[in-house]
Amino acid sequence: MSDDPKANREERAVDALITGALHSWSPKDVSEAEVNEFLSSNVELTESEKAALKRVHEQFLAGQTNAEPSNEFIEEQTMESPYMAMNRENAKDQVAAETRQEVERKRAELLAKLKAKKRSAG
Amino acid sequence: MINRAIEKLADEVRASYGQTIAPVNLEVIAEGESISLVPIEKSEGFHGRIEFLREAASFVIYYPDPNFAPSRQRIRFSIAHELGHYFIESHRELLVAGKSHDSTPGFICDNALEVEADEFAAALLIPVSHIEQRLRRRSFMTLAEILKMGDDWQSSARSAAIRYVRYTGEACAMVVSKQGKLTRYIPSDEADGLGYRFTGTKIVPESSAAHRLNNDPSKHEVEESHSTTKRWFPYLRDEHDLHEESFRLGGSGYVLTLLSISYDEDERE
Repeated sequence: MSDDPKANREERAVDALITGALHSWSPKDVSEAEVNEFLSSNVELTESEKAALKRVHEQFLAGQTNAEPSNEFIEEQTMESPYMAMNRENAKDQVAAETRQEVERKRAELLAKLKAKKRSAG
Repeated sequence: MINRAIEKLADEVRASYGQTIAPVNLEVIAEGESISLVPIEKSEGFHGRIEFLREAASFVIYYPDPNFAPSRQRIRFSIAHELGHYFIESHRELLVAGKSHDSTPGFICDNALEVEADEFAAALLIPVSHIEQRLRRRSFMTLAEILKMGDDWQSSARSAAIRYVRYTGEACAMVVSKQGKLTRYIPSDEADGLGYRFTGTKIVPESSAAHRLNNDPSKHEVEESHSTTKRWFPYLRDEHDLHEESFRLGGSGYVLTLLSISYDEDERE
């Protein structure tokens, strides 16, 4: 048995299922070879056995971990940079045409000014 | 967690231009680098742009004209962000190669570059040494103190809170909500390590300080409340004492909340 409590629970669950399956065969009379033969065969679980296995799994999870928030929370609350949200919030997908025109106009004015400054310095 | 390389770069830029006391003068830095700052009046949806003007071998930053834009602090953040694209060498190389940059979604060539420029802006506007100094005197800051730090350095309240949460050793988280709905949640490393990586709620919990602010527009001071972590983190099995401080961010409808989690040191694995 492992020291890991999670592994212990899994092992105990598997042990319990095997024991339960062998019980109706009067395990006292079962040899090692018969057990191995049973384990190597394709065992079909009944519906109730499947349900029992599912319950064991659910109980195991409930006992071991905290519930997790949904992916929706995780996606909403995870971001590459917290500052990005601040800088981009409410920003439109594209710069407005009038903003672009103003940028272009002011770029031309600035270029003219910088060129004039360069000429006068030269 | 903070980016040490970017913090160092921001420290060097501030030191180079003698910007060691609050607030950082961005105009002095831009002028020192011969970067032209050009205000844009029609700036709805526009936060800034940096270009390299090849004909003049010069950089220019266009930014929203403060006379026509709602928040001066936000403009400062945008200018500092564009300066980040200039001072971070790999970004500057792209600019010189002809890739200009708009601070708007849809025009972003690489998210990683945006994240770095944001980190630079935050680091430039509030030096990490200042937060360190504050935390040396006492291991935590109240929301009122964080807001004052934002005012002193002319950085937005939200940016100051993020800066604190990302640096502090305190188990805390910043929550931004609007009309009762959570829009952002940022835990400190310590809170993250304790399992408070996400809240389990999309709405501001009833009876919380943020809820009271939402319900009473006349409240303009920091609102406080004491509860347990179950209020904001209902999915977590562990329960710790929780102190909430909330503040309304002007008339924007946003509420900023600082959640401070109390726990015993031996709970931390």
